[in-house]
Amino acid sequence: MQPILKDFLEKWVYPSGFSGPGVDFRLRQTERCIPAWEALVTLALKNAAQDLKSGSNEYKAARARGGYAAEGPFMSMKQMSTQILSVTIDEQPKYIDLQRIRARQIWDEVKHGQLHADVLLRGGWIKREEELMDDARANTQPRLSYFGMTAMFPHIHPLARAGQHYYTEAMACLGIWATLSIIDDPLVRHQLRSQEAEEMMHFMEGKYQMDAYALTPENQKPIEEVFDFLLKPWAPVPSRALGGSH
Amino acid sequence: MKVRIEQRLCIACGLCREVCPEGAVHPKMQDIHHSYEVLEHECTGCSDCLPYCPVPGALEEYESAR
Repeated sequence: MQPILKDFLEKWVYPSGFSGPGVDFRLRQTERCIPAWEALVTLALKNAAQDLKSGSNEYKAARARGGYAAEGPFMSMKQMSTQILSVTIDEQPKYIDLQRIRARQIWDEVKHGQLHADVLLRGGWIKREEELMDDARANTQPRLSYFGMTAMFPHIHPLARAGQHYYTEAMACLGIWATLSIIDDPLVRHQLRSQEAEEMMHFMEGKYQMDAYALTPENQKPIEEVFDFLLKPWAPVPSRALGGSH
Repeated sequence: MKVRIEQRLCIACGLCREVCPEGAVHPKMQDIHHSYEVLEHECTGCSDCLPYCPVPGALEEYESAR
């Protein structure tokens, strides 16, 4: 196992302040996630090494454009609005803690988009963020996003987002650590260190949702379905900025 | 004249970044709080940002040494 993943599992995945069926469910799902997490760390290390070998700074722009597509204002608002809207007015008191954390995440994701734009601005690739509106590389993702408008609404459930938080945000953390273990560059550090703590918080939200709320088969099913989707070979992977391929 | 951010007052709303015609306002380097800074060499002192700042005193004009 990659040491970065082993460290993550020991420090953040396995320890829990809870016990019971939610934790048991999460640990079963964790076993499904580990091979994909391992593959992501391996890929992120390889991509970082290749970028360094390229002899050009263009990889920083490519990473930033990919990051903007995944975390820029459009994607952020689209994804985050679906997760906020997954809780009906009647259920707001029941899930108010999750709603508050999710509302905060909207702010996080938009700021992350600004970080990717800032790499392009500080690096001289663009003069204004608006230029990215005309750049497909900064606005498109190559694979279906489960939490895009089209896919999320047919499967909407207040806890479905836990799967995305747990699986994908763990990848963000792992990709950041793998990348920074290879690339020592001020702009890349700026892009990744500035959002690292929030990616961890988003992962921990997924963990909390499952530990505290996924206590019955009825509540576990919609989360498990998200893992079913995310573990398909054609499911989304992290952006280049976070160590993935796109 | 140029503009700078008084970090003790700034709430990091980012409005100055949105309206700056020079793109001179940036997220601070490696700052987990996502606060902003005005890069002096990019600021032209146009002051377009000032009316948009919601916190009195968070953006301040100063006389540049250059």
